[in-house]
Amino acid sequence: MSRFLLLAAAEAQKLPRWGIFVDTDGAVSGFFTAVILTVLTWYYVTSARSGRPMPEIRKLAGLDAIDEAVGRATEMGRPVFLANRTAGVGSVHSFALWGYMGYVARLCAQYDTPFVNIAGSYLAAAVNEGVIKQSYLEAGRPDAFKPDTVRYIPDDQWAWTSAVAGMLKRERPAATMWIGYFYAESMTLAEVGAQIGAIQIAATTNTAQLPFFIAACDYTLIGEEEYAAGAYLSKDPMLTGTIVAEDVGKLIVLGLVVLGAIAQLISPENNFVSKMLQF
Amino acid sequence: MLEKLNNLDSRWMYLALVIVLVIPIIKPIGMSISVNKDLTQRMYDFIDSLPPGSLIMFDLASNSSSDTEITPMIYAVMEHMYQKGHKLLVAGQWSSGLAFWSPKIDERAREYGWVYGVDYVNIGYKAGGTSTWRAMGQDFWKGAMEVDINGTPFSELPIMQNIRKLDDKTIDCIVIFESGSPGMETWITYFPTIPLCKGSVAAEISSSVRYIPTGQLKGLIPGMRGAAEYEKLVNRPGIATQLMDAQSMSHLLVVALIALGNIAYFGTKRKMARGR
Amino acid sequence: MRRNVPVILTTVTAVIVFFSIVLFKTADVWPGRFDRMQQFMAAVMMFMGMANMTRVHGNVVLKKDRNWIFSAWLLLVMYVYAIFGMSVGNTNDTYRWFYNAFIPPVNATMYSMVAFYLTSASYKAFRARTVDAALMMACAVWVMISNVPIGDKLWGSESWLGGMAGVRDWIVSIPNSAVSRGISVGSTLGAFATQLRILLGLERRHLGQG
Repeated sequence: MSRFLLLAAAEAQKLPRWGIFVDTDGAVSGFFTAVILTVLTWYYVTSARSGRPMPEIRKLAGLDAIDEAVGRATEMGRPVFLANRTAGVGSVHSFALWGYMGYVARLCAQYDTPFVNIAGSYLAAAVNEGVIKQSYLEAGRPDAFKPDTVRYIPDDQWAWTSAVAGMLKRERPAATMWIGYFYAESMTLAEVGAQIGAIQIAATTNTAQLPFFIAACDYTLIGEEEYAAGAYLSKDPMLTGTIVAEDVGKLIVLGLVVLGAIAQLISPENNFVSKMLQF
Repeated sequence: MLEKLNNLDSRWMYLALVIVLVIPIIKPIGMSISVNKDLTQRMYDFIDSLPPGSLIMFDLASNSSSDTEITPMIYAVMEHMYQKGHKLLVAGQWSSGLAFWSPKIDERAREYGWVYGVDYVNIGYKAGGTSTWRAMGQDFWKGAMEVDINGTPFSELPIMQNIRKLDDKTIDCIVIFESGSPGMETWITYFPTIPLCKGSVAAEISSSVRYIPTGQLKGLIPGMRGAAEYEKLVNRPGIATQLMDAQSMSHLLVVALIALGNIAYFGTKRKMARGR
Repeated sequence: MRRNVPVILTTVTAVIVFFSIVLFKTADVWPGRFDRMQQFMAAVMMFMGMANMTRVHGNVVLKKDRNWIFSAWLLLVMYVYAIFGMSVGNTNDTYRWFYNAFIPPVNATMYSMVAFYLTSASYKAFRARTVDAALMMACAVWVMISNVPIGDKLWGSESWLGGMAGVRDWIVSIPNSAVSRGISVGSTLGAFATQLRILLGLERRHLGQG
């Protein structure tokens, strides 16, 4: 009998929430979060399009340093390296990476500085090639693109790392950029880069690897700063609008955290914020 | 002198590190270790609380480079499972992880007298990433192509008769041994109801700890030190316990070098200020 | 046409997946189909990767570029091992022996290099130049000392505040987790904003458009 009741309870749990949403924690709240963030983004993008003034976004030293790094590489006549091992074409890190790549490749093409990209995913390497070629074209230097600009090395962690470390030692780039999600290879890459005296800029959302990058790189972009590059570097007000929407979203989250903490203090068993977010 | 120390050649540090690592391995000191109550003890208690005969799934999300950290964890958890009479389902998000640890797991299973297909099974690597695991969440057999690592059909393996869906009713706990991606995000995102424990390489501990208070991780073995703690808890000292002396000495060397670096830095700074 | 079709495809797929996951009735119908397409593409991708490496490294060998011997070695190992594996199966003892005898030691060697780089980086980076740097250094030193038995001898875990290990656990579980969560919340919102930019067709660099 008890087994039957348990089974019945399990079946009953499968009923949709509000008649249409799946019965999983956070389904309804997740839906509304997505809707709110989409509306915010739409609002700020439309505002930017109609020419209304946008709030200023804060300066990011790591992104401002890109020009300096490429300039130094030009003076020294040494290449600029930009690499990521893990991001495939569907990864959001790749989309962030392409923001940096487009900007850096265009600068390198303008100054006639060798540019090297090392990818760990074959498909990403193919897209990278397209992005870099486009940047060279925009800079008016399509002829400067060389076949070994994009180098594909299969993403096996240490095989990839040893290959890149070897390239760093042999080719001695003046600037290195480690953009995206990195694992334990971060320490090896950043320290080898530091040993050859390169200006190093890193950007990652992996909190476990941030200390290693901070220890060995000149500039480290933390968390969401990694994603802001495309919009920040392009200076396009519509793209900047999406960052403003993201910051407003962050303020809402902050408000919810404070409200949730107060609700937890008042009524630990019946925290309405927690219940609302779990619904 | 201070300037020289300030710009000390890295190779001297590497030499010092080799010395402090090798000596304790040749001649162990036998330093004692305490168990981390928030992480290792929590995982031990969770696995201990499962009723005998529970099905635990191993996800080998690592590769041979993490051998020294992950292997002792796997052995210690297997020892615990043996003591409690749990059953084991071996899977892995990394093909290299399965290729490396499957023979080691088989060897340990033979020692415990586990019968393949009855007490434990290894489904082998299944390509396709998260989409494959989600397919197993719908129908384990179809999602896993209905064969184990040796190509034996699931229909011939008694243990597989009860494993029809990758969900919390079938799997009592997933223990992921992880050193990178894809990793525990697969389970936290798509299978949040299945209890999850983790054996983590040291470099990833700080980003995993936050999942403990939220209950998304039931426990965590933090690096080789955690493996040594687990070995202590299951009362079977192994390689991690043996290597703890070397790890402890290397930590002390790094602390000493940090102190030396600061002495050199401030000494040089003072000298320069006086010179001005 | 070339500009808009990829954006429309991206938007339509994303909207279908999003609603399929959130809404009850359509769950797992379309996402399942997309998953299977992705599974198929993952398998095809491996061969595309091999073809690319053959083209790139084959050219290096043919032109006898600098370090061409490494490219020749790479192609030799890749093809011999792949053909051998396909002919005997991946559970074959000899196939496994080759893997276990070569890959783990090489991988472990590279991984263990991290310890050396970490030592030299710590020496250079952990200097009390500013208050922030001093705080970071103090936390690092504390965690390292509390991880070794001497930490327990200096301030035992049975005493006040759980000793050195107790304070270490507090540092790791409270301030570290709080910061880590803060960064994660920001990263998630950043990732969401990036995905929206792609969905709305504002981010087009991956389509070869500036």
